[in-house]
Amino acid sequence: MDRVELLTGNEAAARAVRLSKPQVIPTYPITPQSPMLASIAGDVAAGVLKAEFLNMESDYAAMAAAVGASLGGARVFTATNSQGLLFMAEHLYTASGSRCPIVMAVVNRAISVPHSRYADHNDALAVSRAGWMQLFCEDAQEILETTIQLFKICEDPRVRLPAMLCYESFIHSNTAEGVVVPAAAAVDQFLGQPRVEALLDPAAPRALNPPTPPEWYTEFKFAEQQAMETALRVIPEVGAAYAGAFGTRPRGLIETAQPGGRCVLASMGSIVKTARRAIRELQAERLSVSLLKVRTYRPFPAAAIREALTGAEVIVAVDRNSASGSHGVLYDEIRSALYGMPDPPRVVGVIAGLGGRDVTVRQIKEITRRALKREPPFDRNDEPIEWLGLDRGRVRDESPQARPLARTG
Amino acid sequence: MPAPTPLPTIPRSRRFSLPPVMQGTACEGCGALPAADLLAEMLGPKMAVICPASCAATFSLSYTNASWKVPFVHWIFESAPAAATGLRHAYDARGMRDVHVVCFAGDSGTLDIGFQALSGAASRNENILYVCYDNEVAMNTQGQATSSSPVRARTPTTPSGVPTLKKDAPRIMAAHGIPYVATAAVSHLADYRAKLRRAARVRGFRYLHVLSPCPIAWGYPYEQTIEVTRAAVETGMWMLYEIDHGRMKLTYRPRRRRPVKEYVALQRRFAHLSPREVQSMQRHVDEGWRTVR
Amino acid sequence: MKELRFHGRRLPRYDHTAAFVGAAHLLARAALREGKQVQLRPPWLFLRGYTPEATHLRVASEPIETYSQEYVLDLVAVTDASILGAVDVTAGLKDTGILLVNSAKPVTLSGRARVAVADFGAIAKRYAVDLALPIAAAAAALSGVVSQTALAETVGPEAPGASRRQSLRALEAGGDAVASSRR
Repeated sequence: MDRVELLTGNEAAARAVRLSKPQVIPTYPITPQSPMLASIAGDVAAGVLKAEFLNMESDYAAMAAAVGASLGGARVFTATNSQGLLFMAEHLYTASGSRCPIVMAVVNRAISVPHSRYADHNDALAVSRAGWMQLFCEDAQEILETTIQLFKICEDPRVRLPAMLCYESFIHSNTAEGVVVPAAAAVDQFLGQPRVEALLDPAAPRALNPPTPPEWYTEFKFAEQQAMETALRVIPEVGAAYAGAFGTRPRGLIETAQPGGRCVLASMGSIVKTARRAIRELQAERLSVSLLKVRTYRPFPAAAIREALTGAEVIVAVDRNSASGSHGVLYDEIRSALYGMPDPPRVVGVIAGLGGRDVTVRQIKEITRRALKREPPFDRNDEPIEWLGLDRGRVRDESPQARPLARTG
Repeated sequence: MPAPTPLPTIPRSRRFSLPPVMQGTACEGCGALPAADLLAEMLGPKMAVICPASCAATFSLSYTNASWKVPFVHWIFESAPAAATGLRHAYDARGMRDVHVVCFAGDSGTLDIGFQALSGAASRNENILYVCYDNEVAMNTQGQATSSSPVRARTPTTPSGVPTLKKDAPRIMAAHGIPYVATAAVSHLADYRAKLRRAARVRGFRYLHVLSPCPIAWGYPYEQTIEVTRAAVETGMWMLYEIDHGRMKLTYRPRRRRPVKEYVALQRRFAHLSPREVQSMQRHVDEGWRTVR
Repeated sequence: MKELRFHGRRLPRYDHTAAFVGAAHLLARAALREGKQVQLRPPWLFLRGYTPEATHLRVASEPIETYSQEYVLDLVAVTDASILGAVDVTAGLKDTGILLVNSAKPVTLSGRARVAVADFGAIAKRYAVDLALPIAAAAAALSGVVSQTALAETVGPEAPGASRRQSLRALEAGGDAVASSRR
């Protein structure tokens, strides 16, 4: 019997882990993922989840252990973000190149320096070329459902790639919502036994990761690329199968709301939720605005996005990420996806929510109105990009620093 | 409900203070505060502090204010001793040889994620003072077990108790052949002060390990931090000694070691222990003291 | 959609069981019981010490389509009256919004029409329950965010035997304490 429980994003992920029954869970704590680890550790200690819960000595050790366990044939889950994710960067490639179906929660958090514990997407996006699928969740319900789905997607013999389940530090991880939790037996039936090939198995000995000559290297990478392209089909397939099994709404590569608008707001993560309300209020003002939610960022669903954006005049790509010297990823990748279309919509960019800055309904409405009216900077052809809510008085051209107080204690 | 008064045992230092505006960043009864305070007093003002992610980093600076009145950097979790190595050599190259380069880190950043960098710097005998304040958990992320957590302690990631023995960090560091290693405790501040004074005068890699209890992680009322620390020393659970150029010397010997069960009884993290398990802890402590003269 | 904020201090318990979190948590669970949508945001930072903090709660019959931290509040509850001097507890409170204060002494706040004050600490003590219970009941009664029945049905099963009776009485007393402030 499905129940509605009050769960934070962390708790939703931990509950999904309990239901999905990974066999090895190597961990290292990092704010704000640590309550999720405590929840899982509690489940293991109480015997509710039979798993090897490992307290590793660092984040990269957790990923090294994750790959080791996966090569041993176990279903594996781990979690990290920000500093920890970057510390694992080398081993992320080990995982994807070894075709390990590891599922990892990434509680998106800004990267030091400047130091921040709050949300933006720069961490996952910094490693978006490491061969991991990356799905961005909008709310706690999606976190629970996507975690379960990812085990099935990753372990699909046509895919065999690791995946990051992305949700936002504090905004999702520590905020509680009503979450419909499926019954354990139904999830068992949906996921079935782990389909993880034990590449290190005395029954069939192999010597993994030999030095690979140039004549062979490319084809391995091509195979990974093919698996990612296949994932573009498998992700919606599994989403639909989940919907069929649990009576939920099917989740896929993207979602749209109020389709057919002249202006389309495109984003990932919690901003999508806030954009829904903004769009409703703009529609009440008789403005023609739609929503494009990018759920699957890797593989990038270019075809689905092209289809969704056909007929629109202007796309506002709201990026909760930045890379100095470059642009927000949605701004760049949506433009690339539209390249070659006859009469493509204009794409303008908004950098928002870095370091956990709040993105409000009012702000989204304002930039949408300005984009529709082609007001600066959205009237430019080159770099029509706005940094949302930028306070020019606070711009500091230096390394962030505090000053000791003049007087003593 | 009136605001609680700060711990009277935290000395007023000219070089470290927790101004009222930052009192949301250190807990009442934090054992690391006196460790930081005395370090600044004894080694400043010619010192620079490299502090990796930790509770100390959190109470050391907010966006606008710093607790240390000496140069300070909030560093990346795993590499403080490596950064300190770089800074030390920069100061040497620039003729600033009288400026102490100090790492101030918790047990997690020292013995787990930071262990490679710690061993590396010690192996090179870098001219650095390293102070590990030990609250026996990774408290900045709310208390997960580390390799410095004592056996059987309950933490959020070891709900059934830590399965392994506490890592003997001081002896591991001494095995690197470094010139000075010492243990300290925030209940015995004169002893800690003397060791800081000694360490300041030695060249090479110096390692201090300071027992700094955490009322939240250990589960005791925050006014009892000094009492709990003293119990650790008086029961022999925590030994106060130094290893100076290879020669070990106890700097405090309890006249009569109190039973370990008195220490255990003070802390909720040990509340689940059976009498047999407490006896086992007692035996382990007795063993440890048998080999010390 | 209704928006509420609960102010309090974490001490003496360094966890999320302080009343300014517990009351909101209880209301959220009761709201789920009524088939409503909720969004509960306890304090995000693990702030040490004695700093005042706040929990935010949104309750609605339709999906809550925002994660913005801009709130237009229907009710602000202050579980520790000493906070009134330290923080502007009325920031974001609608003109028609209610300020609910746990205090044994009268509270005056200039410019605020609707202030409900009651000694919830005494109620909690009388019935030997957590401070969160009578405050939640009062907040529900004043804001209409959930029914008293839903609250009772949420609390009841969690408190077996004699403490269940005490809990239900504490809820009732909390609601009654602000009866004169209800419109």
